[in-house]
Amino acid sequence: MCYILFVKGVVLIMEKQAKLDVAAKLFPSVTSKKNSAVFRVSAVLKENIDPYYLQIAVNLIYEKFSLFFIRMRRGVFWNYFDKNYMHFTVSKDIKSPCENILTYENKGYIIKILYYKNRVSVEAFHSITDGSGILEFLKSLIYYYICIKYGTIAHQGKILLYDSIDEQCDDSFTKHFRDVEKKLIKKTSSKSAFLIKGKRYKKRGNCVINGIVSLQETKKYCKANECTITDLFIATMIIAIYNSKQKGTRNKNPIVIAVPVNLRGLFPSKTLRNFFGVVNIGYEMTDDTDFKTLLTSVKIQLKTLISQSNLLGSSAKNVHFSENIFITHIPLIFKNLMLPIGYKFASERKKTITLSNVGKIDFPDEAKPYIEHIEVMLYPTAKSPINCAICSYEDKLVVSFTKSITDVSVVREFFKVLNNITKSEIYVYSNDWGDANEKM
Amino acid sequence: MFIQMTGVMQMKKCESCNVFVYDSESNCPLCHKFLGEAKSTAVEYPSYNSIIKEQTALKNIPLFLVLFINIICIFINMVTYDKGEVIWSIIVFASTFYIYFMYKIVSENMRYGKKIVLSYISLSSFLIIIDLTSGKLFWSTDYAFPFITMATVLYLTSLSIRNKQMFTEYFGFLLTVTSISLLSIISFLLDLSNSSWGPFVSILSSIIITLGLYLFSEKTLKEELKKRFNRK
Repeated sequence: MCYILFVKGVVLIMEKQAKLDVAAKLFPSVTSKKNSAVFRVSAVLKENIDPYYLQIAVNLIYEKFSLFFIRMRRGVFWNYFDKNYMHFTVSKDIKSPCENILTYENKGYIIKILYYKNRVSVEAFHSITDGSGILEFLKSLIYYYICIKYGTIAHQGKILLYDSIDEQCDDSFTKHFRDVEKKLIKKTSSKSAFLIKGKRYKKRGNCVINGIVSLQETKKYCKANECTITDLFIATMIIAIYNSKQKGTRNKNPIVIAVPVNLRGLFPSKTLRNFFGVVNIGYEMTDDTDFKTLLTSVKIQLKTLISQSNLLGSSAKNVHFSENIFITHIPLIFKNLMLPIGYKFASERKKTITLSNVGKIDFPDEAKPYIEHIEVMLYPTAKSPINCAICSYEDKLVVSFTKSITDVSVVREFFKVLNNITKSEIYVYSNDWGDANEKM
Repeated sequence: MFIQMTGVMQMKKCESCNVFVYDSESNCPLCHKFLGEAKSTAVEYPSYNSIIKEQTALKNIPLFLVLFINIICIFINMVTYDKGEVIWSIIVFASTFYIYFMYKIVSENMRYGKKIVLSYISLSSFLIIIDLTSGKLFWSTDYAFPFITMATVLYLTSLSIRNKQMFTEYFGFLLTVTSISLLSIISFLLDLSNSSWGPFVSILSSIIITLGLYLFSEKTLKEELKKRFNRK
């Protein structure tokens, strides 16, 4: 029955929309072994996961999130979404987080639902959704899992209810930015950022180091210093990278933190597809830079860059580029050769690290006793081998570093600086990727 | 200690990094200093090293066996070549690799249509090699290859008719088999077959069936082409 509902939902979606949005078009072309474009969200529960109940929960949300249960196929000019009639099954987590999703191993799906002991993880290829979309998916999955295993609980309006297919798969980029006048489109040029280099793991995979701090204590510090949590973590990250990597070198390039911004807060949208922008916060560090000055600069930059007018201009630029008649009619095979080069120079070299704060994740009150905390993990890329994602649940603020290099100094320095600044306790754990002899 | 207050987790402390480390870690994740034996906790990740070693070892056993058998056979064939002047090791080579490929096709997680096409290619290649190395009677190009082609085409056709949702997918595989069947012409031109009827019947039947499916597919195939050309 669930399978029939799922197929019906997918067919409806496919009839409505098979095209990829502007962000989704880029990811398949720039994906490589060093850049998987796969991110992960996990929920750590208080008890071991039962795969039988998890599969039932997945079956129940098939239709609601049918947008995610598709396969991506190669078209002549762009990739496109197509129906996937294979039965989706949950699987045991045996690979390191954010590795490439091999579609032939995953029945053609570009989403994975994994379980291991107390953790349920959802990994998704960035073409189908962004962090906000996948978190809605995880919340629904956990809610239904708890309902099935422990008995029905009230959703309190905190779980995504059934929206129309139109709203779910709405291409909000095109809707909001297609008609933006050309004079509002921003032409940006910035110099190359400081890049983190390091020895990659012998066995391809990612190491994750999670640190948990108290949300209340962090908020207290932010309130006293009139900044946001994102401001604080960006400034801390810049100091950490400077102290561990740039200090004492001749490289004076700015340390640039790329911050993804959820555009749903600025432009009305209920889409579960990609709808985000990226702003770059940079600072040219010297030995004399003090934390307060850096924090003030970060605050001003972030406030200016995440304004509606700025994001309108930068997002419209991408939409206009992807809809350019010349670009549209270049066969995909040539786009796949050209786009990685453009991506490398226009994006990869302009940032040192990506830091994504997905914010506070809220569950219904009756579900809270079953959940320990939530983790969000970003994939490392070729030029940005360490990335960081932050999320909070109840009083636990989880900072997750995902890295493809053996060097741990940036992460160590980050927690050291954070500890010195906020004086709050930090709790760490890792997936221990890599052999013992290549950990340093 | 906001985490320990929940009573679920237990911690160690790394004095050099000034952080608490979950009990699932034996070493500090930041400085790798040994902190004590690891215990099972809620945040524990899988032990990748043992999984990778186990998978790699098991994965390589069939290939190792195939290579082992072939090296031994090639060696014996070389040593005993003077007695019969027959290169029988090629037959062993083709047979073992055919079994290995079939094992891979069956065990790997791939689309059913792809499995059919790969099995068709493997079986055809295997029979042609056997034929060419055991007397060149051309039974493979005259009968085996055309009949295997026709059987594959008919099977894919029945699958695409029975399962209309997968029609476009099976049609793609059908086109692949039809394209491969055109190789029969090459075998005929290169004098690798005795009769012309077998290869031509297989090509003709493949083309007629493919064309028929296209014409009777109504909107399905046209819709698929629209999607492929990003016109939808």
